[in-house]
Amino acid sequence: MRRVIAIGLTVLAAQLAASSPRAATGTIQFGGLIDGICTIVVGVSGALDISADGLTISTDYGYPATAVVTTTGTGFDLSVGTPSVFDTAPTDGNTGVTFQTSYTTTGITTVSGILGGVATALGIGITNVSVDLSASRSDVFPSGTYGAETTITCE
Amino acid sequence: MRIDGHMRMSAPIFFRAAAVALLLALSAEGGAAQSMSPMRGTVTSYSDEFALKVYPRNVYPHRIMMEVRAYDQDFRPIQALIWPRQFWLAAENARPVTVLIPFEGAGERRVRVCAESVPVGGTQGNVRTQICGKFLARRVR
Repeated sequence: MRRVIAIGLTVLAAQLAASSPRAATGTIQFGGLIDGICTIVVGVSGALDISADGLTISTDYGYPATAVVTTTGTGFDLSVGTPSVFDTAPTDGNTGVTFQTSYTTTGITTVSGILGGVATALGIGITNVSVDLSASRSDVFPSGTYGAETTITCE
Repeated sequence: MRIDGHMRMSAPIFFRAAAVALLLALSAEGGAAQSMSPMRGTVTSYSDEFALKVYPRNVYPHRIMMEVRAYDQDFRPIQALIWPRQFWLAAENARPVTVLIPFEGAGERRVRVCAESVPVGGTQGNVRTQICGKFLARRVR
């Protein structure tokens, strides 16, 4: 009997030691300077088609290119470049052509019909961008395959 | 775009909608998405050149071709040693790119370093994306 009591007291003492207030706690800090960044995700490439009088090739007759721009900080601007020639065009298709781009945004930043070279300050978050391209000249465009490239810039 | 005449080609609405849907589906495979960090910074250099390290990132679920270019504050291309200049970047990955730019006699220089997507495959309305960081470099004499 004495032996059983001795073992029981030993176990009790061990448990008390394990839960004694000698255990300490601490706090570890984490920190960092997170720079703002800008992300562009291209959606649909634009489709061009020709006007009834044959003098304008534009996404107005097809559909615009789209992209989603996401920013995580302030101070970022959006702009769209304007091509100077068609990358792909039939013979004489690039003669005397004037290009124009414009863009419209929805989401955290909302503007409409802004000329490509004009920068727009972006809000923090997601901005949906729709880009229109138009090419015109005084003569009708010859038939053939046309292609042009525009640049969406976030800086 | 193929223009077969001077009149606008009018397709039935159904086929137009189908074409748009197809393009949307294709764009999920063929689009380009990117970011870059840092996008702002000031560096100090004791030599005739200054170095920047940027991390272009492909946030898309497939690899894309990217190119890094350097411009001055007026967006004119400038001389710079960029390594690597053009590269494939795996899905959801970033990689360091080192940019070495001369001061060209100036005491400070404001530059843009841009990560640009390279469109692969030709469509009529390709979009190139350009993420530009703005950096100020000061030379200590």
